[in-house]
Amino acid sequence: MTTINAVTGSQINHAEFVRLTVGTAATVYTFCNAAAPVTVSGITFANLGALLNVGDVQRDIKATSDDMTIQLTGIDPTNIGIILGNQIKGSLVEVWRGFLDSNNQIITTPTTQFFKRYQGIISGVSITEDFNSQLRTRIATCSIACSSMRRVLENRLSGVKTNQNSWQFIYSGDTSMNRVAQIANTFFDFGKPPMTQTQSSETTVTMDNSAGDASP
Amino acid sequence: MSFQTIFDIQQSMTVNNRRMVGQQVARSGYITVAQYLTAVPWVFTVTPHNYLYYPQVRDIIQAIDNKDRQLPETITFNSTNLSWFTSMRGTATTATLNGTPTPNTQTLALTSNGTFKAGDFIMIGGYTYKITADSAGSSVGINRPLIGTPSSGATVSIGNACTFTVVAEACPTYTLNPMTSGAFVQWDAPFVFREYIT
Repeated sequence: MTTINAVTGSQINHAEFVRLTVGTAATVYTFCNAAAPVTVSGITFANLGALLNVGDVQRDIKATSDDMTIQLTGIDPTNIGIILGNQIKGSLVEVWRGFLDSNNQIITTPTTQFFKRYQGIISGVSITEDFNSQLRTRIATCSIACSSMRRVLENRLSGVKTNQNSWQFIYSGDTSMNRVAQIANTFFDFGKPPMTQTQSSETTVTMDNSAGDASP
Repeated sequence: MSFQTIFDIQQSMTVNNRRMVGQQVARSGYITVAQYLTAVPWVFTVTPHNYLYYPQVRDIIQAIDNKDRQLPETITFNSTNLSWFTSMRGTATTATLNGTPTPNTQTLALTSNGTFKAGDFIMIGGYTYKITADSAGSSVGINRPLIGTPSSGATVSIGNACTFTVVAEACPTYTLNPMTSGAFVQWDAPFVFREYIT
């Protein structure tokens, strides 16, 4: 269990830290809300003023599938470049909260008070525009939607479809699914003489004309 | 002279240098507080003079229009009317950083030639801070985290040498009230200037 000594008092001083590991080149972007860069555990978090919002992080007793949104300013073209200029979907997102002493330094005793709150991957990005012609303002916001790894595993598709193309993509030459398309729309009266003529080309010729009499 | 003029002819000025703090009061009456670390930018809300004679101040208005809510301007308070805001109460006249400060620190080691009083202004790397407690001059507390990463020996500006680089967060429109051969300029709202931290 994680012990957060910093929250035992009534005075708390904290900051949020975000790291994006983007694209196949694994380019790392770091942000925090401090006035100057902060280095913790070998990671230097920039104070670039890019971070607008870190969404709610759900904490449950058992592991849950939680999504989260991070917002970066869209006024700064650098952030637009991060989103549009990289293969950002699937990139790693990590969020920490750090607790600070009265001189704004990360508390290191008895342990470093720097705790990971969230880890997931980017599932989608969007750039929203708030255009107000009355106030003559235009504000752009880059939103990064993140999915937890549990959500990724939940949504993972596995197996093979039982149609001819999918089957033979894996088992070439196996013709066992070749008639799937033909029988997929065929109606079968299993275990009972058909009430109407079926669509099957080889249907039974026995017709049950005693309507409502279900006895054999 | 554009935003500077608005400061110089102000009718009133509200100063906001509050930190980002969360407070919650429990049903038992206990209060819990937490500070969220930020750069704590200066915000000045200035109510301008409403009786500027338009034919005489067109150049000032044009300068304001040029800056609008986009471009920053560096403001000083060293004029005769406003020097009381930043003038020194301590005796120090020169100072430099003694050692490279820790990032985000609120305690600075200085090499100076005098004392500082609580409320005195100092500026490091273009950002202005207030001294939090009387000091003999070798170590001072500042009202907000140190912005950026200034190095040892960096010049510390003192008192009326301090400046504020601001952007107009709110730049009001104006109404012209006609009078003899011209009009009075009536600003439709206060100016709000926010420190431009880059």
